[in-house]
Amino acid sequence: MEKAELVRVHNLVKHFPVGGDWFAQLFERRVVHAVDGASFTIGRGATMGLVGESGSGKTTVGRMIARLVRPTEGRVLFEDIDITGLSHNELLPWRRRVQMIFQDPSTSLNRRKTVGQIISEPLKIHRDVYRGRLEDRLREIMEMTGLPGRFLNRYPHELSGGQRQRVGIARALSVDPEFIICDEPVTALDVSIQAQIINLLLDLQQRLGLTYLFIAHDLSIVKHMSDSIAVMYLGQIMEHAPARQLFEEPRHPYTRSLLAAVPRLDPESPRRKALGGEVPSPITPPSGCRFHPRCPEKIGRICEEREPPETVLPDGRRVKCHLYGS
Amino acid sequence: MNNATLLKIEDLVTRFHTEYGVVRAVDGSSMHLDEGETLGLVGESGSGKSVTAFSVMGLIENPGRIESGRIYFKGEDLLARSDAAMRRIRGKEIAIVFQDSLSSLNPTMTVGDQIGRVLRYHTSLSAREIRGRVIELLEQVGISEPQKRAGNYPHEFSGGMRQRALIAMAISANPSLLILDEPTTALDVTIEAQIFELIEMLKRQTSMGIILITHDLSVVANACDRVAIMYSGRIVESGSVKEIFRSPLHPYTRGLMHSIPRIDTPREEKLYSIPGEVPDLITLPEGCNFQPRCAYAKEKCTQTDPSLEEIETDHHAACIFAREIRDGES
Repeated sequence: MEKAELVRVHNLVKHFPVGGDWFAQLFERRVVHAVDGASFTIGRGATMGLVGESGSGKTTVGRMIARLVRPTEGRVLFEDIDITGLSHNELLPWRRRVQMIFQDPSTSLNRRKTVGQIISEPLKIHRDVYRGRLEDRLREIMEMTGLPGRFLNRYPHELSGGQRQRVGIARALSVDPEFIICDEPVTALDVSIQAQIINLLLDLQQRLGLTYLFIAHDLSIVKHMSDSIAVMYLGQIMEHAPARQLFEEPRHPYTRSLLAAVPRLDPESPRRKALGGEVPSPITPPSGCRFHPRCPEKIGRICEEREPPETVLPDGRRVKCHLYGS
Repeated sequence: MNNATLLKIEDLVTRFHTEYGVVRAVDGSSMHLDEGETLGLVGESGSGKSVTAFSVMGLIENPGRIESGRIYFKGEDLLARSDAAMRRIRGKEIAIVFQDSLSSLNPTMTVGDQIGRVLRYHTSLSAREIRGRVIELLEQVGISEPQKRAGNYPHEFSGGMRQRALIAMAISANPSLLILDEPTTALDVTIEAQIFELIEMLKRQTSMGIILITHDLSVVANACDRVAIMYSGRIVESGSVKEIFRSPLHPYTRGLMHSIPRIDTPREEKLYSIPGEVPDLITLPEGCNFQPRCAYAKEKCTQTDPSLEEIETDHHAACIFAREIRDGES
C-alpha cells in the first residue's frame, strides 16, 4: 500500500464572508466556516474518498485543491510544489496535470458546443501535450471512455445522462492528467448507469495510473472506489482511515452514527438507526467538538469546551475525538 | 395477512400525446395494496413510477391521458369518478408527499396556515380547533416548539423539517392511503433515517396503506413489506420484500441488485453493470422491453411480450425465463 506521495494538503481553511453590505462584512466579520483545518496526503495511483453530508465542506476541499477557490489558510502541495501561492500563469502547466469531473454533466458541459469541441477544449489550451492530429487524439479518448465516434458532432442535450458524464470524463482525460478530482460523479445518474461509470473510472485508473480524490455522500459508492476514506463534518475531518477499517471498525462516533443510518440492501439485516438533530449552522459552529450537540457518545464538559486534537491511533488511522485523547 | 384490499390497479395504461409521438409512460401495469401495508414502487427515471402515482391521484393532465385500466380504491373505481368527487378524495382519502419540499410548499404562507387549509377544506372544524390540530400535527411529526414553528415560513425550515411539515399536511385529514414520491431523495442520509423513523411510527399508529416511490432498493429493503419493480412503464416483478431480495426472478431486478455497491460485504473488484440505456418510451423495443439489455435474452424474447405471472406464492415476474431462473437458483 505504500505509494509515493502525490498530493499533500496541510491545514486547509476556507471561510466565506456572508451577507450584509460592505460595512457589515468589514465590522461584523461573519463567515461561513466551510473548511476548518483539513490535512491529508494522497499517494500516487491511490484513491482517497471524501464523504460527508451537505455542508460538510467536502466540495470546497476539492475546489481548493483544484485552485478553483483560493484557501483562506493552509497549503496544497503537489509533488512538493506549493501551489497555493502560484499566480494564474504559473499555475497553467500544473492545471494540465490536475483535472476535475463534476456532478451534473447537464450543467457542466457547454450546451452550445459539440462533444468534439468540448473534449478538445483543454487540448487547445495545453498545446504541448499532444503533437499529433487533434482528430486522432479525440478518437482515442472517446474510445477509451466508451463514446461512439458518431457522437463527435452531437450536442450534450442529444445524449443521455450517462453518455454526458462520459463526455465530462473524456474532457478531463484529454490532457493526460495525473490527478483527478471527482466531485459526486455518479450522484445524478440512474442506478444501472452508476455502475457503468464507476467501472469506467476504476478501469481508467488502472490503465492510466491515475490518482483520484473521490468526493461523494453515498458511503457504499465511496467504499467501493477508495483506498482510504476521510469523513467530514461541519468543515472538519473527523476520521481518516483505510477503507476497510473504516467500515469494519468505525472509531469516531460520527462515523458510527453515519454507518448506522445507511440502509442495507438486505431486508433481514438490522434496521437503520437515525442520528438525532440536524447539522448546526456553519456560521456559528458549536464550541469544542463540532459534533458534540448530536453525539451519542459524548463524555462530558470537555466535549463542549475543548476542540479535540487529531489523534493518530496505533493502526495509523486519524480520529478527532476526545474518546481517543491521551 | 387477511387485511382488506385498499388499492387495486388493473392494466393501467397512461400515455402522453406529445408532438414527438406517443409516450407510453405506464403501459399496462397492475398492483395491489392492503390496508396497513407498505409497498415500495421502484424504478429508474422514466420507468413510470411517478406517473402511476399521479394516475391514482387523478392528476394526469394534458397531453397525458389514462387510456385504459381500472384503479379500485376501497372497491370503487376511481377512474369512473367525477372531478368534483376526486377533489374530495384527494388530500382526504389519498394524500401524497413529493420529493422537493421547497416547491411543494407555498413560500408566501406560514407552514401552519398551509396545513390549516387542508383541514378547512376537508373537515368541519372551527378556526380555533384547526389551530389546535395544526399544533398537534406538527408535534406528531416531531417538530419541536410547534406553536412557534407554525408561524414560520417554509424557507425558515431546514429540508428535513419541511419534509416533516409536508407529512403533517398529508396526514392531517387521516387518509387511508399515503403516497410518498421520493420523499427523502433530496435529504442527507441521517435526516432520511429520521424521516423513515417517523413514517415507521405513523404506520404503527394508523392502518394507513403506504406507497413508497423510490429509486433506492436499500430504502425498500428497510422500510417496505412488499415491492413492485418497474421498467419502461411495466411492472416486471412484484412480491414480498423478503422473497424478492432473497431470490429475484426477473433479470432486470437481478441486474439492479448486483450493480449496487454493498456497504455490508467486502469490496469487489468490479461491479456488475447492466449494459446499454433505458429505451425511449416513444419507440419501445420489440417483444420484451428489457430484452436489448438482458443477459438472459434469447431469440423468442423479441417475439413475445411477457406478462406478469405468479411464479411462487405472491411472487410475480414478467419474464419467460423466470421459472428457469428460479430452478437454476436452488
